[in-house]
Amino acid sequence: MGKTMELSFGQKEELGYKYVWDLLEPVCPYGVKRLNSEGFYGPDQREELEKEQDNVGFLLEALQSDGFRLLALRESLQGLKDLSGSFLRCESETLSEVELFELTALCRRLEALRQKAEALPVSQKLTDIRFVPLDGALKVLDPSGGARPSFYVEDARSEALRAAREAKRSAELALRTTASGPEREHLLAGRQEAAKAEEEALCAIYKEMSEALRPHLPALRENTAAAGRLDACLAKAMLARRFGCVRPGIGGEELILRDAVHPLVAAALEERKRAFTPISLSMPKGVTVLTGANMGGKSVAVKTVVLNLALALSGFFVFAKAAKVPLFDRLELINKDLSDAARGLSSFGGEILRFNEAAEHLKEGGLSFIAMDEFARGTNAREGAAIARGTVKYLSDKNAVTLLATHYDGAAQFAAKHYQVKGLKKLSSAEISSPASENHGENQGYGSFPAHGLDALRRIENAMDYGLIPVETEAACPQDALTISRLLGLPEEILAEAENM
Amino acid sequence: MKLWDLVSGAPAVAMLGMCKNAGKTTAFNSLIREQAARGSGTLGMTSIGRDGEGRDLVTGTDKPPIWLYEGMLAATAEQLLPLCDVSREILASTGLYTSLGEVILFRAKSDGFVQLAGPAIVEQLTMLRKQFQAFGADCVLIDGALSRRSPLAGVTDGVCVLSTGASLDRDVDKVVAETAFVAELLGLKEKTLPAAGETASENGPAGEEKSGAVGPGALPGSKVVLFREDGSRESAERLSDIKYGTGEETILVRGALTEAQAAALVKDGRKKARLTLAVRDGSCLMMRRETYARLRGQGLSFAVRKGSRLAAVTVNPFSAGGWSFDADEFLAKMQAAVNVPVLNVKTQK
Repeated sequence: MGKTMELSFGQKEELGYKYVWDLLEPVCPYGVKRLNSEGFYGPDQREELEKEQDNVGFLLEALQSDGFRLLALRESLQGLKDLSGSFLRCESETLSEVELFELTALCRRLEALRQKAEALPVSQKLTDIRFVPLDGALKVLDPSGGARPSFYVEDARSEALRAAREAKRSAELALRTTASGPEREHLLAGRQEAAKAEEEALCAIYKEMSEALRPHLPALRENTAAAGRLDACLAKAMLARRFGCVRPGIGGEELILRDAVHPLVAAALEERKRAFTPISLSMPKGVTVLTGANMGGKSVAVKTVVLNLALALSGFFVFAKAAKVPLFDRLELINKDLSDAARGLSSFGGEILRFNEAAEHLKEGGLSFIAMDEFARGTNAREGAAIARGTVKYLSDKNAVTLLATHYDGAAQFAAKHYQVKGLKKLSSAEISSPASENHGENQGYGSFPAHGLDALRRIENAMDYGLIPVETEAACPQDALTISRLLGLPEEILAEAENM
Repeated sequence: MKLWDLVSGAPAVAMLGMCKNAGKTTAFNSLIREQAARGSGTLGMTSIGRDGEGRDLVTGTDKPPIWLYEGMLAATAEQLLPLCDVSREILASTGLYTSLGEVILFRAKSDGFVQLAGPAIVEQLTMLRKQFQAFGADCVLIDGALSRRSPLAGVTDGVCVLSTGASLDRDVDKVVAETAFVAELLGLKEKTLPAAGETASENGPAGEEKSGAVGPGALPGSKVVLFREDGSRESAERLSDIKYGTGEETILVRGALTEAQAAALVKDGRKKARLTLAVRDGSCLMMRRETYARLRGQGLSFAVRKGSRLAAVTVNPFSAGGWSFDADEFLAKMQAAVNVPVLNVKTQK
């Protein structure tokens, strides 16, 4: 997996990846660790990715058929503490009594978890989620064989401990009836000696215990890793169940999405009682060009594709009815970046530099995925269109699947595929200039949008079909900018002037 | 009379001291010893902040360490565990943290010395008490911090014991008067205020409300609320903005009532004979004794939303500075100034 397979924090936020991530509900620290360390699966990790998908799939099935018991299992994940620091210390040092207590409690919890997991049929199907018995470690920590979750070293553990405690106890008993005077002082001094001997005996025992635990560390780590993986897969399965996500197919060189949704945008739309229009597209190797009216949802479509691709490559099920995803060597997002200005770059300059990097990566071999939203928009229309067209031609025979959204005409000339936002329905001139026919009576979900603009926005939302349709590569871009501007209430004088040009 | 008899049955007992060397730890040890002698029930103990060192970290004077008995429960910070010489069974790591590490709950498997350091936040103390109860504690002793400034809200369903001593001042009368003042604040009557329709979350000083420290009955979130006889009410951000004086009234002040606010109230020239001033608990009245006395003199009544019960005052006639009071005179004067039992724990066996 290449360096470019990592998304920056800003990109994750921009894409909505972080939003989906925050919807996950791992319940134990090992699950959080597992999710954080997972990253994207690369072309040489197909088997691992499919194992992960299998696990999520089996757990999703089990959530439907045996949900109650599975959620009970999840509950026993909750009490697990992250003791990886103690595991590490145990390899070379002596653990403290509190650490030994924590280990005892962890072993007991993992044992309970193992028994619960074994009773569930689904656990037989899961890959790399195996709990091994911890009786060896528990025998070290609590040789009495009880089920005590607490930690106490019994007198019988060593002769030194027994003798020290006996001396201490007899002094304590005598002290109970000796209120004051030199006799009391004498007893206290004797007891102090015994307490010191007890501490020394305990230190020796803690050392012995830590050493005896060392051979059991692999089993402990195996169990905590299993708990982490179970927690992470269960979190993914619960997310899939909540949003009706599907398992994406893996492989090939064509990225296919049917009825894909962007959950963050969908949630925002739902708040204003609107539905996300799912998008479908198939992107073969080469360039897929996406054109459409202003405000037609091109950027949302790009984000929907990249988000679902990124999720699929991290072992998630995707927000779509069906999907097939190639295993890419790298994901390249070429969009405006807030850090460009800080680096002394214009948004145009930033894009060009990022493109150069992506082009450089192509020379390293392997399959790239490149997404470009309104590439070269930051310059004049004539040259911008020429650069976009040239870029499409350049990428058309490279080992990359590219998605390029643009409103420049002619960019699709060399594209493998061309999609267009369905765009504005036919509107009468009255519908365009009159106030919105339906009055929602509330501004919920629109945030601080100014009231006069709100009507216009609703009109556009009503009139726009955000769906994608495949068109001829030569098809011209819809020229809707004037209509959109009119809907948004641009002064009529300006529009009249523009129409006369 | 035994100190334990005065507090027994309470789910929690807070030990408060007027100053260092007031005999608080001696009183604490007396309670432990007397409870052990009864031989029934399980005692738990912790501290607000750190206590139980053999030598006082601030003044360097000898301090009696805390001695507990087999079977009792204690909660202390992880780093202090090695300084406890009692044999122990670790029961739980509480998830509550102090500057000395996580608070660990254990059961004593022998008699012996402990050093206590527990959470200093009321909410955490409440959580810790629940854990004590889960392990079977009938009563939790809480070694409080100095003076009335320690948060009492964590033990308002319990009782408190106030320790005072010669270390507070060379003048026995001043010690008695200051102690009696704090005793009065700790013994303030509870007043239930009408529940308001609004919730505190709207704009309120959230921390206090969410903790439940103010008690049941959601009230509007302003800092100061005036409740009138006819059921109407008025809110304000500052006590000085409240216009009272129309009849039987109560002013609720959220958070602390400072000396400056109290002094301004003295001088506002309004009649206070039918006015009650209510705060969360006695620890919120941060005014000087003289100011409190002048307000009382003007007819003002004080009340708390969550009362604690002051069970006893203990006196220590010896000071860390070397001077001492006549034990009998001190005891008699103190007893005359408060209406709860006064004990000299140094002479109690």
